[in-house]
Amino acid sequence: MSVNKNKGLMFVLPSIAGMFLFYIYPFARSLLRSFSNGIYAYSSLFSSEAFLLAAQNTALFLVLGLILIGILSLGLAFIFQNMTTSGVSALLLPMLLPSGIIVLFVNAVTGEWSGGVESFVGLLGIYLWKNTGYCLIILLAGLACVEKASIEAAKLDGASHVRIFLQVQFPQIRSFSCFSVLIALTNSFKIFRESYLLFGDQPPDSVYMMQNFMYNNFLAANDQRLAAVSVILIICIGIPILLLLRYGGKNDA
Amino acid sequence: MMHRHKWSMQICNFVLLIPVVVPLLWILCASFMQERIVPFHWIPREFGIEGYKEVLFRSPRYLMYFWNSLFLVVPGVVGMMIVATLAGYGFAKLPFPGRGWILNIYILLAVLPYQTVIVPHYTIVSELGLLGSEWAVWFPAIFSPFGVYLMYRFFQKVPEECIECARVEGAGEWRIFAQIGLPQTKSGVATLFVLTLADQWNMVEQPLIFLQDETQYPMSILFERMNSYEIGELLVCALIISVPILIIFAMSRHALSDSMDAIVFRKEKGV
Amino acid sequence: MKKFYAVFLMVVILLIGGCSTQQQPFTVYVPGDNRQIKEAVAEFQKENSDLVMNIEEFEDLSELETRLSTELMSGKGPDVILMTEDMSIDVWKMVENQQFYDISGMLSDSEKYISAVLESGQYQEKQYLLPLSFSVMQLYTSEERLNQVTEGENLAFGAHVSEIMEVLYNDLQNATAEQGTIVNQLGEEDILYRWMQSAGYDMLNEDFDETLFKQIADTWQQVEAHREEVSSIATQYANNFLGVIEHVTFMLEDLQLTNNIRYYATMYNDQAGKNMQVIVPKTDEGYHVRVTAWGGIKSSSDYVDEGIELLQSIMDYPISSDFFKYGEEAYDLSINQENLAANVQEVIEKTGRAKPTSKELREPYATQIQDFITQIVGAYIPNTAVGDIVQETLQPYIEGTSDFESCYEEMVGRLERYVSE
Repeated sequence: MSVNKNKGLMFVLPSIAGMFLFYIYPFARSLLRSFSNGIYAYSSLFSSEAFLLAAQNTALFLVLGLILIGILSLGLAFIFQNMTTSGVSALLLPMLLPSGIIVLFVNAVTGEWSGGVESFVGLLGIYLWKNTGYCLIILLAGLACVEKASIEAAKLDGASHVRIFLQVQFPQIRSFSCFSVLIALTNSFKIFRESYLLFGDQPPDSVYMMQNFMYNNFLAANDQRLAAVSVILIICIGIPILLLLRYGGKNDA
Repeated sequence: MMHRHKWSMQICNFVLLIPVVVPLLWILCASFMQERIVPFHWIPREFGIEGYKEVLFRSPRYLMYFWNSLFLVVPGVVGMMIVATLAGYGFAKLPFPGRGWILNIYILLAVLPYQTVIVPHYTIVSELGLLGSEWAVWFPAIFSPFGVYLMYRFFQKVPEECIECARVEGAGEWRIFAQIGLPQTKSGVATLFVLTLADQWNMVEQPLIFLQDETQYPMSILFERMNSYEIGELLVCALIISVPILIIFAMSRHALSDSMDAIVFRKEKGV
Repeated sequence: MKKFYAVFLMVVILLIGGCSTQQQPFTVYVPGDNRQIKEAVAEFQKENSDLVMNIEEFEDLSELETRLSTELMSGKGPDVILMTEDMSIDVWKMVENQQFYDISGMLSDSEKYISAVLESGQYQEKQYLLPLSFSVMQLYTSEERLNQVTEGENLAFGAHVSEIMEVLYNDLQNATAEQGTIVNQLGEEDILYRWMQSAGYDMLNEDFDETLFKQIADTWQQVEAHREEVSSIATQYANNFLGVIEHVTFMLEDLQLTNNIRYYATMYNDQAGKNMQVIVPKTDEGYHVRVTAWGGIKSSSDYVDEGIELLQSIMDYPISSDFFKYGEEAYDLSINQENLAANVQEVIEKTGRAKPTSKELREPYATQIQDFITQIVGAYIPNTAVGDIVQETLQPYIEGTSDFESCYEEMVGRLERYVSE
């Protein structure tokens, strides 16, 4: 149906054109730019104290954040698995609310944050507050799709609630869990917003992350370095994402 | 664990909602406090509305920031809705060669963190000479891949038969889109709208990077730029900036619940 | 001098979009209560009586800043504005954004002015601002320590930040030990010379001759003689202060050198915070003490009068005084001398904390620390990252919650991180 094909193209044309202009093309350009001095832009990164610190902190934050959010949302999903969905959508609120709210609140409760381990933990806390709700909603939605029959069968076998959860329900919500991890991963970088409101351009060492490094390089107009870091970041994040997308596709029956 | 009474369900609901609601509630209380807000307390010792007066009536700049927020966010989101619904429908219902791998690229770009696309955006924006103008904020928002992919998922749920029927009866593709496709994905559209609006409303990186003049900044980055002298005004601003979000959220709760399962990337064969 | 001012109206900035037509008045914004400027404006108006002028004075700086930013947003703005260093507007950013008019060609007889001062108002070799004065920030120390760091060389160039900081560290260590008296042996012309040179002021510039230098030295000698007493005021009222940082300000015209010598004494009275800045400029009529109180508490003039009396009692030249009040308005307390203790208690309750927060403390110091860094690092830093880092890391020491060593270490670490970005 060539008519349909052309019509289809027309519908998607604005989007594809925009995508190309604002994402693909510039990304290719900055990829090229990053190599304009050979691999200097990349190699110099590894001797930059700021970069190494940022990489370390970011990796730590991601790993800890994802683990904690996984545990928390799975645990809560287990406990609240039969909740009706009407009240649940309010759990989205922390993610939707502007960053100023939580920043003002924590400033009032704990005073101004000044660095050290507490600030890192605090940022983790904010991250959990913001995203657990969304992940929980997704998992609950998934749990609602689990076949009753398999649960009944396990109960008949005398399995405990926990075992049922881990061995019957959890495998069946794999796509939901993966999606939830994906969202948590993407949103982990958005902690920059709260971090910027709390600490400004130059945060203390313990909370100095890749986003800060990139932003400050942007301020200093270090094009090449910035492009190199972007590339590295895309590779480092893109690979897990691709794996998640592949692996997390189907639910086990 | 499996079967709870209704009231215990309500209690559970309540418990879960506490951490959600507490900060907002406190800000509301604190906005009426005339005294210092540290140490932390709930009841205002001195009740007053100085903060409100200052923000709403005396100082024009807070409202200026609010207007900037509206100005920067709404056109971007509206534009995105248009582009995304069109493209989502196109991808879902009108197969064309190469659709599969193009969609894969969309997914990848949709979930990448914003920091990775800062540089590309900045490059093209400055090349187009748009630095410092609101278009630098609007364009990337309008062409956001996330919206397209989400709408694609929603349109996939629309039954093929309806569409086929309409085609057979000679309806043009645009009519099908407008009168069959869109109405059936209402909850999806609402969900996309809410999520994107909230995300954009909260934008921090974009104004810092693309806008050069402080007077263009939206309210979302106000909180870093002010010092604790103006805490009273900050609290009121925090409320003001949340009100639109809360309203939109309240209006769309049903849509959000309805569309939850469609949001998930459930992979069927291929895409 | 007055004629000069009258002809040029201080800092001349013509904001883009504020082009004056026949109908629009010539607008001048003046912060604070500046007698000299008012007189100059009056003279200018007399000489140009066909020009409709609108002079606006702002008692409250923040109001000025708000108005300015709102007007700029709508493309308007005053024709001329006097900027003081207390304002938190980022002047240089505005210069970079081309919001100031290039006045390079307008200054006639520019050779008779001290070029270093003029240059401080230039950006990319174009004159955008006309500085009235150029303040050189100095830190008093002894000759011995000066030699340690500079070995007789120019301090501004080539010195590593950490070496400079070591000097500061040593000085402040000793200060704490000797209960606040920072200044050791001073007053020798030699030291004075080297310090001024090190701060970037080119002594060999022909604009500047020895007579003037002697004048400065003389004044400093006088001040030095009274330093102990002045320091004792600080000690009397303070139980914690950063240090005595001297400003020597050179006015634009070298014809008659005017000195402003300013003492910053951060005075903390018990638990309440008050910053008092005592400026002792020498004018034709003698010394004019301008006492400015800001930050934390809105002081009443009673308290300030007490300070003036004390100063007068130890100085044998006439002191007149102005009193400026500006700063945070959220506190509304007047300090009653007789009931000071009770008032302090009230302050604590009302503020809810013993000392102002770091951000509030940072504000008054922002410019000084930035100046300091500027001199040390030898270049104007367009963004205030370095200044911010120094302020933030030294803050716990200022507040007394930490010792200098750890603050200093943190600061060096952060500066090095900044440099490696």
